[in-house]
Amino acid sequence: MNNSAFKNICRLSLFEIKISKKTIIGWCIAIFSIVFMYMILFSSMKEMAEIKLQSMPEEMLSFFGMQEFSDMGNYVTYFGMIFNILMIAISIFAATYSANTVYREEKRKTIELLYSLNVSRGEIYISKLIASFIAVTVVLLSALVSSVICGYAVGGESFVLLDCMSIVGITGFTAYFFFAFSIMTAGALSSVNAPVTGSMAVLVFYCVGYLGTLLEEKAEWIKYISPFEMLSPKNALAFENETAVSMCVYLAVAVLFVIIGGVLYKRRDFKI
Amino acid sequence: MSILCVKDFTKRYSKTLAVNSISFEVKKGEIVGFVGKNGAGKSTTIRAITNMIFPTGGEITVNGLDAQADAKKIKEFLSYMPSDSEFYDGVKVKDLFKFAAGFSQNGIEKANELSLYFELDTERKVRELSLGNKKKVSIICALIKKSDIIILDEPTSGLDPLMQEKFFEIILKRRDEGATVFLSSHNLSEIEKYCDRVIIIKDGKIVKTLDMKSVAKELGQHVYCLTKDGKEADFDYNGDINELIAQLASLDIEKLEIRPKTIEEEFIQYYKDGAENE
Repeated sequence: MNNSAFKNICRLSLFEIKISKKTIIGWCIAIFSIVFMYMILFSSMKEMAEIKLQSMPEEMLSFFGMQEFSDMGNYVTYFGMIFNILMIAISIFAATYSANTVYREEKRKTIELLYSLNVSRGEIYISKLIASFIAVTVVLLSALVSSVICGYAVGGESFVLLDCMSIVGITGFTAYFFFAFSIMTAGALSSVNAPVTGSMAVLVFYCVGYLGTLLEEKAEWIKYISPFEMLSPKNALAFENETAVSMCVYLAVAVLFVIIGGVLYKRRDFKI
Repeated sequence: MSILCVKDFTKRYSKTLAVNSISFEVKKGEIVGFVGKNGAGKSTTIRAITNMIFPTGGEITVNGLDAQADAKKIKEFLSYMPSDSEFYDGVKVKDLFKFAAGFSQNGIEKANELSLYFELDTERKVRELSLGNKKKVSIICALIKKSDIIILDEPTSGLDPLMQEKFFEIILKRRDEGATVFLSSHNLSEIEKYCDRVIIIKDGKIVKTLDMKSVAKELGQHVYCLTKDGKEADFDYNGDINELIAQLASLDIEKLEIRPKTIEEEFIQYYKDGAENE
């Protein structure tokens, strides 16, 4: 990559972030607030939460991945449970935001202006990729920052910074997986509504993971398909070999998605 | 010397044949008009030249470079203005210019100069602009850089006559500086006034290429004749005018009109009849 291409990618990425800053800030505030709202009440909610969890149907607990977190007296465990549910929303954000960076240009016909500038298709695609990566990272960090602030305030001895970071880092990788999937869809197929497809993929993968845990020994392999299951906060905290391997596999698949999207983006007609 | 060469260009969208094996060349320093009805294939051809879409068949070269494989190199000396003036809504005009200018040398100075020239308020947000002002933004974005070839897709639609005049002043100036201009338009009078050649496309096929210098001589006369017994004749005549008058003299005429045919009329005829005139 030469100097001019690098400068072009930086300019395009910054512009993409600038035009969608309201969306990013909105999501950051929402995620920060939700985490803050739950975590700041940790000390007072732990007893109440235990009672509430006991009264909830087991299937529902299992669906939202809350069954694993029986110890509500532990700040990290409690954060894991909240973050696990929030991962659905963050993954949908990652999928829609990344897909929209590419899809929206063609839907609104702004791609004609963008591509009339002295830039290549590859530079446009990479800039969208970088902007999406930054947006997803910032949203994940807002959850981490919120949990850390509350952790220092009300977490007591059960708050372990590194554990919270592990949960956000490993479980949060699920969002990057869907971001890669969606940007591939948007890059490769102009005829598909990539943001909707990405969101649907998030829900399908989540349900597949749940199905895997439901079926247990009968079809346990199903859960390996879903990053929600394999990179769950519980697995992130334990970080056994299986989790490490899963993360490597998801990373490889995500990279493959991004490459496929980029290659096809360079070779297809813009839908204008 | 040809700066733009389109050879057997074909574009098919699933079952629809948008452009069917067209070929034409644009020479350096020319202003060439590209006219045709909506859906004739003008924008498809222009989008293939600018690598927005890929040809199903044929070859397009700009300054000897392949329009698809060398698209990035071509952009160093090509400016393009799309027909749809669509922008990022929440962005201010000045920020859009700043962004676009970042990709060319002295771009921001040029953008400011052109904004003053076109009387455009750059402090406003793009979504607040009228269609005409959006068109100005689009024109300025295309003219920010100094290019060897300028491709414009319906550049003046939405502009008031004064701004159309101003726009063509700039285009003529760029041509005098050595640029080649290829533009599509539905405004036939501006095509007639400013273009050196005109390519007429109909149903994805080129039906005629007119050289504006020689075409005026070839157009002949338009004749309208109404006889006293109510017979009417309305036709174009390209022969000896004395012979025509001699023949008309034998008729009992109530009303007669003979006037030079305009190029606009010729265009409209091609719009209507197309290949039948070939």
